[in-house]
Amino acid sequence: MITSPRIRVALVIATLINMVAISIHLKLSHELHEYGRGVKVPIASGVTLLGEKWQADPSVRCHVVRMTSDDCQYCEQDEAAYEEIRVIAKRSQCQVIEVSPIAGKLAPNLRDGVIQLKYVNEDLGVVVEPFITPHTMVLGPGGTLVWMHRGVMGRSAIKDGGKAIRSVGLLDSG
Amino acid sequence: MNPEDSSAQIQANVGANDGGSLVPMLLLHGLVCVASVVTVVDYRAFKELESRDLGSAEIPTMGSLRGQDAVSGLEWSVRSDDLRFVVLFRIGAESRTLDFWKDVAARTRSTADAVEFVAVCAAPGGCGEEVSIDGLTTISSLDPYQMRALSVAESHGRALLYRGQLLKEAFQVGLSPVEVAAAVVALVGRESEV
Repeated sequence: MITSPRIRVALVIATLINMVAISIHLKLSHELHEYGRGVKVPIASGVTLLGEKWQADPSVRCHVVRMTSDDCQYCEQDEAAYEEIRVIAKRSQCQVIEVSPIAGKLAPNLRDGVIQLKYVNEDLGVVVEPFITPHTMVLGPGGTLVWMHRGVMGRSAIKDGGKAIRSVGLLDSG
Repeated sequence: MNPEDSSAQIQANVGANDGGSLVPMLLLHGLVCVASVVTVVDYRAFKELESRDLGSAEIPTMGSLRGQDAVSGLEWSVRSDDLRFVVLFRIGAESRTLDFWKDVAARTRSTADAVEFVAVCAAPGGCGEEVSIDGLTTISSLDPYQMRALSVAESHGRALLYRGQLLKEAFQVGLSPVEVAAAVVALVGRESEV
């Protein structure tokens, strides 16, 4: 039993402070998790590494946007995880867009279903975060952002990303 | 009462009080520790959210002034050894119109020749028909870093002044072309003296 009134008051105050801090924490965690969702990229377009104009095909239901750079060691570290995401994207008939923060930091690497851009239009430029490499996001129908992950992807990020791709893609049997 | 019994009773009471205050004190320490850890985590989460907010982000000074010309489709760039001044701004629904900037360019050209005005069109075809004024270029795309710099500036109602590849100033865009042209001329004059 707590006998000292001072300790009793201190405990009540400490409990209240904790409740406030935990409430703020839950709110911020929710905001961080939900950040950017629903943001739209109405028309993604740009210029490919080969200098050709490119514009997203409106009939493609989803796009995976990957911010990466050849001189980024975390991107190299994340390559296996990204490969898994790319495979899921291909199976789900999603197009993958690779872009580097600064033009010239990405070597051409032709792969089926992957487009590499050196310049982006404003719609796409506002959504991608050039300060963070690697950075992966999934855009659903109408260019709506449905998932994104900043930094190297762990198992749970691959799982969440895969789930997001499947939810907006087509014909995924895996 | 036996003095020895009395002393034993006092010691027993003291022991009981120690035990009674030890648990609440430990609980109090625990709560303070938890509150401290949660506060630190909250602060980090808050800073991260703040860093993602375009409006509060700082305008990055590095990048590459390269993009695609909206009219010719050719690559547009400023070489790093090129010391000409470039004013980069956005044309969009909420921004100043292209005519506004044409006016600014015309007024600036009469006093400061070496300024190139570069408009980034918010959407394909957003800059309309071919621009027929000297010193004003329209581009449809930039690299992401530069596009971000422009978006951050735009969210603060600013345009960007470069000398070569180097960002010199993110200046407030005034309400009239006369005001903006005067600001550009003043900035160019100041930077030319450096």
